[in-house]
Amino acid sequence: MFNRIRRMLVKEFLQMLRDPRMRVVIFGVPVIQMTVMAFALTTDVMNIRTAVLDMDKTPVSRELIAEFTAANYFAIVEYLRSESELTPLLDRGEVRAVLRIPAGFGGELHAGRTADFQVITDGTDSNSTAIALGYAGMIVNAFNDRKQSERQALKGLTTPVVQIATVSRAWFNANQESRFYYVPSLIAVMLFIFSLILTSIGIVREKEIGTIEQVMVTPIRGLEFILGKTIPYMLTGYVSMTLMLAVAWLVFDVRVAGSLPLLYLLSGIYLAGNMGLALIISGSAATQQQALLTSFLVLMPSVMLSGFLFPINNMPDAVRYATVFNPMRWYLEILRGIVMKDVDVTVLWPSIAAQSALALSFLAIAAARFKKTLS
Amino acid sequence: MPKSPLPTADAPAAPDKAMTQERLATGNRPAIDARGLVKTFGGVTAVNDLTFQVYPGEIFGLVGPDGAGKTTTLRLLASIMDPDAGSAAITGCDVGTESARVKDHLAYMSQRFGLYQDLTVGENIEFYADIYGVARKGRQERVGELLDFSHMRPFIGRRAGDLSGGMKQKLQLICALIHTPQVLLLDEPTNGVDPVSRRDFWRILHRLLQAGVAILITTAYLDEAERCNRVALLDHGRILASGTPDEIKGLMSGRLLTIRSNRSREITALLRDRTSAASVNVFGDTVHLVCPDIDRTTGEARQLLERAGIGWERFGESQPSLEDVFVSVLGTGKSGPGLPGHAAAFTPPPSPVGEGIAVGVEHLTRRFGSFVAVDDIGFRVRRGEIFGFLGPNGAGKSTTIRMLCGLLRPTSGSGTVAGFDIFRQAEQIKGHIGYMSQKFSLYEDLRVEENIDFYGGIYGLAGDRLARRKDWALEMAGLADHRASLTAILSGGWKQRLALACAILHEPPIIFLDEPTSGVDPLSRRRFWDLIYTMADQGITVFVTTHYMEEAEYCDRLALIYGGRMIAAGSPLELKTTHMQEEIIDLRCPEPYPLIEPLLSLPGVRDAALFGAGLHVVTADAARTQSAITRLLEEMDIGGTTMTVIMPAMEDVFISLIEEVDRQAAAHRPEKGRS
Repeated sequence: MFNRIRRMLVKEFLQMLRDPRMRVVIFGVPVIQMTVMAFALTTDVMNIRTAVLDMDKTPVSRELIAEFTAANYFAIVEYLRSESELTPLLDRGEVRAVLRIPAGFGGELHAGRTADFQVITDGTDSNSTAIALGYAGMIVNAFNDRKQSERQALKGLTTPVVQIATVSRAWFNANQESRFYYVPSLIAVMLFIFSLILTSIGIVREKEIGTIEQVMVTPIRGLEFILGKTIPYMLTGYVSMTLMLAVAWLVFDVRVAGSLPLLYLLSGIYLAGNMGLALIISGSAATQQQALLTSFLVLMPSVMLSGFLFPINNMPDAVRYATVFNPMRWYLEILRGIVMKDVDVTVLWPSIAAQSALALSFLAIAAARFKKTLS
Repeated sequence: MPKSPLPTADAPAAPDKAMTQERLATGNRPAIDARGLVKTFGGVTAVNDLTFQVYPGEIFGLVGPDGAGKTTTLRLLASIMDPDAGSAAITGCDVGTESARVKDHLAYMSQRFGLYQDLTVGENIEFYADIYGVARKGRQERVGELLDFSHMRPFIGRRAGDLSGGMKQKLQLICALIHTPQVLLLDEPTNGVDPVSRRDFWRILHRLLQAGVAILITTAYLDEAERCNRVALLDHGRILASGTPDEIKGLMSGRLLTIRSNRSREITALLRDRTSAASVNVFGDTVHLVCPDIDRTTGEARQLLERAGIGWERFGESQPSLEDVFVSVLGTGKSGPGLPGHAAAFTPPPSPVGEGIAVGVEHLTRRFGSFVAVDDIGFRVRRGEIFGFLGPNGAGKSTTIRMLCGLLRPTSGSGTVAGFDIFRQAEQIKGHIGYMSQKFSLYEDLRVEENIDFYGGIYGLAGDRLARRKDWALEMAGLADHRASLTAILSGGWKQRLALACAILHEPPIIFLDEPTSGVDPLSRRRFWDLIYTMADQGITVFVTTHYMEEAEYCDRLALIYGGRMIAAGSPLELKTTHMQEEIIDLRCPEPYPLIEPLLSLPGVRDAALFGAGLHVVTADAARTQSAITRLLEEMDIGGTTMTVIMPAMEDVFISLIEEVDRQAAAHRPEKGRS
């Protein structure tokens, strides 16, 4: 038995490592893609191109504008003279936000009345719009507070107005930098994509060439064949995971906060589940093309509904329940838990249980469907 | 080119080549004119300084082993590939500079199917008519003519993917002919096609020749090559010899002595290296000796046989076939793998098969949906027998062999292999058989040695035994010097021997070979059969499928399979003597094709068809027909003919049986025509 599996492994590794293109695909591409995407994927919004339409032109209005320029969030690139210039600018996408200060703004404030101030944003990119509006709100609040205290000081009132001060602190990611969130998630995505595609294609290729027929008439057992075909991809999965963790640390300064052995153990379960899925895919595909297409059909929803890009809690109930069957969802929770939060099994056990159950079922289905016959 | 006394393609005006000479005299320009063509692929010269001409109305055959450069030559002429040096012209247009005009005058049929499997026969034809820009006016007449001539009209609404191999080839030929080309390039067009379809195919070709089309054909069937006006023998991209088939046959150094006996394999073993013969080869029940001095060898052989007490049915000189020449010209000077002495290292382990039946099946049936691939077949194979499964592509041969190997579950019926039940004990069977699939079974990206290690390992071989078997396999495949070569770079013959070696590393008592020699050149085929004989001599049962009629004659016993049904079984001799009521007259004449129609109209003639370079006339009464033919030939003033009543060849038997089956099928389903 071990001799046969060993021969399968030797053969697989020889085939895998002989082709220079395959070496690049297995070890280079996941790391490169993860690095590039980690740089590209960021929700941090800075230097929003902004235009100002100041129809008030008072010291107060200039003061407010100065508040906006002081923070790094808004970069004022245009000063408009009339209302009519506003629309073309947004249409062409030259600015993403416009600060509109109506005439009489300063006067109203001075008179102690509420003054209107408008922030217009380009809503086509709803995510950054929301963030920009958030920043604008913060700036205006700070401005309000200052004006309030100035007025009180002017009136000679010494007792300040009672206020609640919010002191917010983001744990596990003090600066709320998105790379801490995306870098580990990208590792999960890359492992999923590459283990699924490479394994399913590796098996279907033998069908396509016809070698599987020759192997199936030998006394090799189904399990031996499955192990021989999947163990190499498990191992390469581990290798590329290690490479990606190294990049995360060296390039993005994202360190594994929790236990490395636990991370490796649980990643093994994840990879094994992916192998099961790949086997199921390869069972139904006759050509490498079909295997690739089927893999993509599985990949897209798995990535989208994993909580990688969109929080699962915000999804409609039906979809949220469906994500229970998404192995990537559980692995993301585990990965973020260990890498960012340094939590252990006592916290992660529901995810671990779900992930293990999924992996076992995939493998069981694959083993049941795998027959040593061609029909 | 090496200096040789052989006539080369540069000098086609051989004295007896009247047709060519006449054309040259009338200033007829060649339809295909290749001059000094060279093509190299990464250091390997595929085509090396190739020069030849093909004239309108002439069929020119390119024969040679795998990798000789046949396909590359056709691609260069079809202007799909650019030559590295030299030039070629099709009907006077240069393939390099005027490729658009070349394509108007040329049709090229590659080995791969150029058909759209999901379109019907009619839709495929329409598609090709459109891309060749065939005018709508007159198109239907042209299509109708082609359909009728190829007997394809009944299938016009059928999906191309559902056609049999032979019909696909005919459809492809129709598509290629739709724009009435002046030059036709055919790359192994009849490979794997059943003999009936092959006859149809050649009939179409002859009609084209009469219309003045020039045809260049590559073929692995040397009997087809004999029908060509001229033949070029290609090896390593060079023309070794070219000329009429008769001229080529004259190249064999020495004369041919043949001995027919039911103990032909023993005779071969006895005579090999013990006489003055240059080579001793077995072709089924006949041993061929190429003799530099035929009288001396005759004496020696006679003496050896008498001393050993082996009798024979026929002993004497024969005309060499093109295959004999092919083997004798190409078979010398090459490293000769597969020598029987080496393969003898095969020592089968004690097997549960015993003396009795190695493979036995009854009422075996396999359906795929509503399609019955194998329909109620039954046979028994004795231990140590070479059992042949003969039939065209798609007849159900592979399906049967897969059921026997435990790769497919039969739908119904029963059977045992090596004493194990094919339903319940498929896994036990796998330990006791060797199987070589039709599809390529080696890992191309592994080295030769690594393939052997892999298959040895999964057959459970290790340590000393693996090392011993590996040495044996390398020696048997003749790859001892290439153990570290990548499998991908080996030629077809080597790969096939390596695949066989890998399939029998574990010394199984039964070996299943599914079309082992398909697409392999005659020389490699001959060597492969030597291996099979050696194994059979050691008591190993060999179950082999083939669509080569002449290979069927090499088997001890045969089952003929057609449309999923077994239509006959027995030894080659039994099949020829009991399944053919009619007699066969072998008629050799200079221009056989125009004689077919007049011959068919003679009373008593059941069929007349091309066979090799001559004709086979099927008749109920040979004596009467012979005198009728003699009169006919006198009337038509045709001389230089020979006529002999012969034992039918396997192809005659097979065609006669297939036609019988088709007649019965047609009687049940009147709407269907002959395929």
